[in-house]
Parts: sequence; structure tokens; C-alpha cells
Amino acid sequence: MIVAKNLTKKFGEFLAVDHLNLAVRKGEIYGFLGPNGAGKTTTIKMLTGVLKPTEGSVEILGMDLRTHELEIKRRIGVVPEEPRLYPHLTGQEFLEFIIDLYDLDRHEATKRVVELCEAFKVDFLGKRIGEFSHGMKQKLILVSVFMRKPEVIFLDEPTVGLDAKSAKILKLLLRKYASEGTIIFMTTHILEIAEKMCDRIGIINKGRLIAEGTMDELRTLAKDERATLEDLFLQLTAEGEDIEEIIKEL
Amino acid sequence: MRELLVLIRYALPRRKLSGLPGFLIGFGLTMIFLFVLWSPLYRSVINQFGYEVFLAFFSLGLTVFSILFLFGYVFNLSYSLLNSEEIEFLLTLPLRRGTIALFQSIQSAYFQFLQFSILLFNVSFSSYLLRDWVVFFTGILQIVFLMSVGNVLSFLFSRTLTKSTARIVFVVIQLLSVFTFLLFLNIDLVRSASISLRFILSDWNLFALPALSYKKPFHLLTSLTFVVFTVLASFFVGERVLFEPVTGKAEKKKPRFGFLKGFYAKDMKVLLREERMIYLVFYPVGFGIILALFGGKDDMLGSIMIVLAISILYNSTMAALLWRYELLTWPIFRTFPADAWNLLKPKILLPSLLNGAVFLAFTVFLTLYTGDPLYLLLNPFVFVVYVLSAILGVTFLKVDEAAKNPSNPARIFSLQQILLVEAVSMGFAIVLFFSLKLIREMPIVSIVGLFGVPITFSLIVRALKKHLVKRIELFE
Ligand SMILES: Nc1ncnc2c1ncn2[C@@H]1O[C@H](COP(=O)(O)OP(=O)(O)O)[C@@H](O)[C@H]1O
Ligand SMILES: [Mg+2]
Repeated sequence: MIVAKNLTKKFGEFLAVDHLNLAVRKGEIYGFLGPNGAGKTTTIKMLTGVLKPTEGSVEILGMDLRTHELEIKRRIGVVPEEPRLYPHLTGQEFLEFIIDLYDLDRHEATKRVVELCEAFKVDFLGKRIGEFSHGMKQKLILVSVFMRKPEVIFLDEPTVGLDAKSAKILKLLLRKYASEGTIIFMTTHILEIAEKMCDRIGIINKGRLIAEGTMDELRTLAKDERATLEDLFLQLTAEGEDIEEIIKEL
Repeated sequence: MRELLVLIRYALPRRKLSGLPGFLIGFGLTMIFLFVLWSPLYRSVINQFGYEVFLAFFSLGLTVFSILFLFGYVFNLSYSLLNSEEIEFLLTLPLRRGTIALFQSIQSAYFQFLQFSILLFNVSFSSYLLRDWVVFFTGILQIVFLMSVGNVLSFLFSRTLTKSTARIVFVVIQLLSVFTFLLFLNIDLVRSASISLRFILSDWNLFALPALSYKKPFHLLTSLTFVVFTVLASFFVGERVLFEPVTGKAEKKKPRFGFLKGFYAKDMKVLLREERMIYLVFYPVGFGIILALFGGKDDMLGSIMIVLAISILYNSTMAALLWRYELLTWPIFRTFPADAWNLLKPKILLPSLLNGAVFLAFTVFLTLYTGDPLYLLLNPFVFVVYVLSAILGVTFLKVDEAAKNPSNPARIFSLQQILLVEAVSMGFAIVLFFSLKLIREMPIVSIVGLFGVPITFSLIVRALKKHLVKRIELFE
């Protein structure tokens, strides 16, 4: 379980995340959807112990993040939005770094790395990370997380930078892991991804959770059987402003 | 502990001479350099003035360099705790905050290499001259003490200091430490300071404990107590580091350069926001003023030449830096309605104008100091040399180098390129100065020089311009 209670983050006077309450269950893929600057990345950083919340608490796998930070970090995997990895290491050395740090079984891990590299078409492990493109770094970090088989996986905009095929493979892998009981929390600003990949969706705008539920539940909320997520999203995030009016003005 | 070792093994920045051998070679060379530079001074103090004065001298050195090391270390560390992009990634891994903080402090000590070596030299050579092991061990403890006090202070600062404050203070400290280093080369000054500052030998001067331990060996224990206490404190505070930048109040309005437009305005902002700029601009002249003050009034040419040699290199570094930032966003420029020369001009002119203005101030100082207004005449020539070096800087910056490690301006040129910039620009400068010497003798030459130099120069620029623009066309 991931449970967040009244999770809040202030940067100076600016309220980036505002009393957020979340609960994500075992085996569930939870999509965290919102426009740019809504507070998705800030939320995921607080959930993974990178940022300290200004207020509120986080509980993961039954442990409080404040008191069990290390145990939690050992059992979760994080795929950050912009992976900043050591440019002087090669991909291979980076994976060894992770293996050493988590004290993984080298043989087991190597076997999984080979499989994952096969799946994601990673054939650049010998190159230095400094020469990687965004998508290549993204794949490397995916391999480094998946090889550990974490019980909870956080992904921040994971499909940005991935080619169509890798994105599809990621989708299938996540589905498989979820069916094996892994909890998956991912953010995205792309409606289609949330609609197709996620079991449950939370919509965040200006730091506030404004709607939450399965696609069906969200449709009921919109009082429209055939509403797409786009209609719903625009309906929820707009503040009385009519998009068509704006377009005309332009 | 295991985690820390893994971090050191994989995550420490690597230089060309990597690993332990590289470190030891660099360390050895620095020690030899310091030995050659300072051992005569140390020996002459102890031989000419006796043990009392030597102890005062030793504690002065200890005090000054400890403070400088501490400041440099603290600001480097607190800045890196806020700034380092890798920390966010490290925080997603199962690492204790204390381990990450300790790893950052090891990196900072690594970057304070020179100050660290100076301290170590001071301690070991003095204890050798005094033939006293207690002094040596107290000295080593002193260094550990400084680092752990530094850790505590930085961990606390990183929770209170905003990024921009940390940045400015850090650069000022660096400048101060270089100038103090230079002042220390001057024996008369050190002697008078050591004698008049004898109070620094008092028992209350924590930084002078190694010197004090010569007469009072129990200070080894005092030192040990401090070390134990501060090491424990740094572990305690280290676990509570946030690794989050302190968000200041709404950003203050920076002075605007209303008269600059377009690329000039943008590049000026890039220059002024670059953290090392204060250093690059003021270091050469500060150096020159110190040399002028201690070198006697008769001949300023030496100090001018040194100022010029350093500032030429920095000028071309700044130009290359601006050019590098442009290349980082490369294809964007192609979508603007401007040609390549528009893009290049500010990179060449802005640093040269900035350095030219500082050099003008320097010649005004020299004129006031020596009463000889002829130094002012140097300015147009020096500006020309700056422009030339900026052009060389832009020319030498490799396109593919630009994308790598943009946050490290110190590694823009290779050694060969540095030597080339220096050779070409200094050669040019020396020719100019010869003509200046002639001016003294034959005023008619000055007229030829005043007009001839700019004309020759504009021809050179024209040729280089063609070359540069062609290179830019090649990128596509
Ligand atoms: N370190 C920071 N300091 C100040 N403001 C920040 C910081 N990080 C994020 N913000 C602000 O918080 C808001 C939410 O950012 P973020 O969580 O990155 O949004 P997104 O939903 O696009 O991931 C934005 O307005 C951003 O400018
Ligand atoms: Mg984001």
C-alpha cells in the first residue's frame, strides 16, 4: 500500500502540493494525471523520500517514511523524470554500482539485465552515460530498477523520451508486474497513457487532487457515459474558461 | 560504511590521472612546489629570529590558512549540498542522509586541494623544523577538526543559505585565499605581522593549537577532545541534512542593462550570472596590484605583463564560455532572424569590454601610484589584445566538447590551446609594448601606433571573421 495523508509542500510562499490524500493498493497501476506544473513531480519526490513534506505523512508497505526511510527505499524503485546519472560511468558500470549498492546477487541480477536489455533493445551498455540521449538514460534506469524486482515502482513521466516500441514493452511489463502484486505509481500528462495503462486515475491540478477513480467512476462523475478522459480532464481543470473562446481571441 | 565505499568507487568525479596514483602524484607535486616556494622563508625565520618568532609565525600561518580552508570548504560544501544534481538521484537509493553528506564532504575536501596541501605543509614542515612529534600529531588532529567543524557548519548553512548568497561568498573567499597566499610570500610583511600579532599565540586561539603544543604538549589532548566532539556533532547533523535549496523571497530585480539589446543583453546576463565571473574578472588585477605594491615603484612592466597574461587567458575563457552556452542550445539560433556574425560579436566584445574596463581601472591605479600617466595609453592596445584573445577562445572551442559537462568552465581548453592563446596574444602584446617604449623616445611613433594598430587589427579580425562564420555554416 501507498498511503499519503494531507501531503503538502511549500516552496517559500508557493504551495506546490496542497493537502493531498492518496491510497494505492497492491497490484494496482495508479495513474497520476495533471497539466504541466500541477505538482506531480513534487508529489512523487515526497512519496519516495527525496523531498521532505512541509506537512502530512507517507506510509509505504505499512511503514512510515519518516522512521523507515532506508527500509522503504531498499524495497521500492524510482524512475525519475530527468535521470541525472554519473556521466563518467558506462552503462555497465552504472548497473554494477546499483548491484553493489543494493548488495544484489550478482548472478541473478546479471541474468535479468540480459533479459531486460533484450526487451528494451539496450545495446549501448559499453558507452559512457555522458553520451546517452534522454531516451537511452531512461532505458538504463528502467533496467536498473526492474532488475531488482522492487515491490513498489514509482515512475515519473516514463514514456517521455521512449520510442513507441519501448513504450509498448514498458506498458506490458508494468501490467505483468502488477498482476504479480507489484504496486505501480506513475505520473503522466498524457491522457491516452493514463486511460489505457492505469487501473485507477487521480487528477491533480494546482497541487490539489480534484478527481479520482477508475475510468468508469470518472465517467459517472462527469455524468456522461461516453465521455473521454479528455472531456473530463478539460472539464475539471478549466476554471470556467471556454477553450473555444480563447482560440477565437487568438 | 560499505555504501560510502561504493560511492567513492563509482561516483567520485574522475580526472585524466584517475585513481589513487593520480591523486598521489598531484599531491606530491604540490608538496614539492610548496617546499621550493616556502622552505627558505621558514628556515630563515627560525634561523634569523629564533624560536619565539617562529612560533608566532607558525601560529599566524595556522590561523590564517585554517580560516581560509574552513571558509572555502564550508562554502564549497554547502553550495554542493544545495546544488548538486546527482544528490536527488542518490536520495532515491537506500543511502543514509549522513552517508550522502559525508560523501559530499569528501568531494569538497578534494576540491580544496590547494588549501589542504598548504595546511599540511605548514604543519609537517614546521614540526620538522621544531623536531617535535607532538606538534605534528596535533597538527593532523587540527585538520580533522577543521573538516568536521566545516561539516557541521555547512550542514547547518545548507538549511539556511540561499544558493546565490552561497555562490557569491564562495567566490570572494577564493579570491581572498589566493591573495593571502601571495602576501605570505613577502617576508617583511610576515615578520612584522607575526610580531605585532603575538596575541594569536594565546591559549584561546583554537586554530593555533599545534603551535601551542610545542610548549604545552597537553594541547594534543585538547585537540583530541575537540576532534571527538566535532566528529560526533557532524554525524548528528549530517543525518538531518535536507538537500533542498532554500527558497528565498521573491527574486530581487537585477540591474538591467537597458542599453544592451538582443544577443548582447542575453550574453551579458549569462556572463554576470556565471558564478566564476567575479573571480575571472578580478583575480588578475588583484594579483597585479599586490605585485605592484610589493615590487617597488620603479618598474611596473612586470606586474602589467602578469596581469595581462592571466587576464588574456580568462578573457578567452569567458568568450568560449559564452559561445559554449550558445552551442548548447544549438539549432535554436537557426530559427532566429539573425546571421552568424550577429551571434558571435557579443561573445567577443562583451568579455573584452568587461576586462578592458577592469584594466582601465588598473592603469588608473598605476598612474595614481606612480604619477606616470603614460600607463593610460596602454588601454586601447590592451583592448585590442583582449579582442584578439576572445576570438581565439571562440575559435578553439570544439563543437562536440560543448555538450559535455557545461557546468565546469575550468575545463574548456586543452593545455596546448591555452599555450597557443597565450603565445599569440602575449606576442602581440609584447610588440605593442615595444612600440610603447618607442613612444617615450619618439612621440611621432605614437601617432603611427595609435592609428596603425587599430587598422592592422581590423584587418586581422576581418580575416578571422570569415573563418569563424564559415565554421558555423559547417555545423548544419
Ligand atoms: N525546488 C523548487 N522551488 C520552487 N518551486 C518549485 C520547485 N520545484 C517545483 N516547483 C514548482 O512547483 C510546481 C509544481 O512542479 P512539479 O511538481 O514539477 O510539476 P509537474 O506536475 O509538471 O511535475 C511548479 O509550479 C514548479 O515551478
Ligand atoms: Mg513533472
